[in-house]
Amino acid sequence: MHIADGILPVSLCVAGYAMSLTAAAIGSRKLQTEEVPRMGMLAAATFVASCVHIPIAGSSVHFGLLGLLGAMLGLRSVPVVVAVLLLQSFLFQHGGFLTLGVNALNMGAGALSGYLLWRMNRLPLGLRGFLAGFAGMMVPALLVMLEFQTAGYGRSLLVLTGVYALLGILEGGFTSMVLTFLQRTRPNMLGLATPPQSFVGVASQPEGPSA
Amino acid sequence: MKAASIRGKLLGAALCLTIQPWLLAHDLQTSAVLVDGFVVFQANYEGSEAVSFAAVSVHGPDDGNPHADAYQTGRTDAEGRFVFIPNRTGKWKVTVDDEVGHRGTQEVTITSLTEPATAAPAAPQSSGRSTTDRLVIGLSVIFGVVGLLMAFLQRRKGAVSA
Repeated sequence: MHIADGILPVSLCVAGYAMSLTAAAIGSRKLQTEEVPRMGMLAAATFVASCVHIPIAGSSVHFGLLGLLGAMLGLRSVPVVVAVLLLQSFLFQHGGFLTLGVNALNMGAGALSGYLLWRMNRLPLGLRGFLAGFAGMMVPALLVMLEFQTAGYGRSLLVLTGVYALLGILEGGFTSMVLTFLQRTRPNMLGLATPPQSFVGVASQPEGPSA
Repeated sequence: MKAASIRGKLLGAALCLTIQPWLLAHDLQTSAVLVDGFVVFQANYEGSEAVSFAAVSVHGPDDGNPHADAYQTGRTDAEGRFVFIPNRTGKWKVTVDDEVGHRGTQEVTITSLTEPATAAPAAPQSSGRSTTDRLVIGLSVIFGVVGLLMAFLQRRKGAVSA
């Protein structure tokens, strides 16, 4: 899902940088010292998880933990996603430098959709966790497919999206387990996800005490 | 409490050791060897998995424009190999694209069209470090940035309260 350089038009890459950096700047506002270690731990977990790749359908797919990231960090997940993708691009050549903005936008959208779904407390706890993990995998996959379509690039992307859907089910199950466990045992660990004003009304606070 | 903390650390270390063999990032590595005037190009994902049946385009030394017609196009075989015969000396560019977002380019310098059978391989285009090394570097950077950011925020908080 990390798009390499030379695939997307430059205008799309520039727009991707503008949007993702703006989102990262908004997500970093009023950062408190006590929030940083959790952001660091989740950045490390996402960085390692995305290196566990599964060869399939002539390519490779990997876990992202974006739903978990979004549910635990809320808007703070966007700067974390940008930092992790920058490292992956430098160290593993996952995605290009020109496409870093678009990649960050795709993954950031996955994390934020996970965050929104996790906060819908009308749904059962386990289902919210599952949907957060599943959306964290599927939203970036669908955005990548849309961008490839825009650029007139790619083959068998529908097949790959099907593969990501299967992976999304696995990741949804894992995310659900972790979030349910944390919600029941350490709910204060899920306390960073502060909803912005624009989201009030569609989302509400999760169950249990907050930090 | 302390025993639980040690158990947690041991569990973490065991988990890292267990998943280590699957830590195969999909960095695209390319290389090329000249054999009797043929260029044998090879593309692999890191961990030696071949980039099979991926689209390949070859551009000759005069094709400055990457969008110009390629000298040759085709697909890698099941082992991730692609072979072509250059018709002039200079720097050639071979680009492989698996059409799901991974792309790599290898430059091949042809000094003579009648190269000896065992010409030196073109330098593989990869960072050269092992996956584990790069993971350790990445994690070190993350925790280093966390430390610096915490120090900066703490200092700023102190300055504001003072």
